[in-house]
Amino acid sequence: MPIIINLDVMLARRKMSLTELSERVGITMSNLSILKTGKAKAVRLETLESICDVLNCQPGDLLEYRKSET
Amino acid sequence: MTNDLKSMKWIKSVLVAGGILILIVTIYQSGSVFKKGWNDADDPIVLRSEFHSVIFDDVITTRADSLNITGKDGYIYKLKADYRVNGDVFNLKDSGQRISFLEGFNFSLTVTILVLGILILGNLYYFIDDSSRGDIFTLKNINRIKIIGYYCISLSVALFIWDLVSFFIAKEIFSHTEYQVSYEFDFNYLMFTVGVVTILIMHVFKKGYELKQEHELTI
Repeated sequence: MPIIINLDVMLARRKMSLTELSERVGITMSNLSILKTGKAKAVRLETLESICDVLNCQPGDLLEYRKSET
Repeated sequence: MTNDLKSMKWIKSVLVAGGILILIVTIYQSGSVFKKGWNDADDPIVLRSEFHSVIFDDVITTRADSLNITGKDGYIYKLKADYRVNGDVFNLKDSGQRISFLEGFNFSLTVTILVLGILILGNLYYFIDDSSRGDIFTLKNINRIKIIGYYCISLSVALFIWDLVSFFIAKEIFSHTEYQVSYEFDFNYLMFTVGVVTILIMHVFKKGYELKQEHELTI
């Protein structure tokens, strides 16, 4: 999928672990893992809002579009 | 949702009861074969009175199958449905290797039909069982629906072939007489349609599975 989720990059910048994010956002570890590995099919605006709130960033910092090479 | 699951359990119970009933009826109908073995043919049963006037040269009609026999005089003897005399017709002149082969083929076809029927019922049972537990849109269920669909189509074809072979057996039996056995086209359209509709439903379930996956992978 050409949409990349830079969750690990943001976590590294904020020096936060996935477990801590999971606890603060209220999303299970497995769901965060799906998001991080790019297996997710869709992200709710509500979830994006919570993550941005905790990581103190913009949605654009988390999501990136890369043209697929065909 | 709970009501739906309850109705699924009811359907499951009805399915099991229906399956047992069909099995009992089949065993009851084939009772004579189970009791006497395959040599049941040696014990001819007297024709019902309405067939006493029917003369088949060199042929003993003990327990006639459903047949449509055209005499050379143009008269058609219909041994069908209501007039059925239960069973087999025997050629006295020629036992015939071909008849034995066709009968053997028909027997193996009967076994195949029985196996297909059991597999359809089994898959339907497990499908309803899983559905009653809430696992409806799963790959296993999609596979089961696919199997049911294809088996229903195969069953209708197998029944058609069985009927055709039965006609050839009857034709062979009456080959040394003045009578001809005429063929009546009989195809199980209902079973075929059920198979096609089931395959269509399988595609709907596939879409449902995709939507479920999408829902589950929405964070």
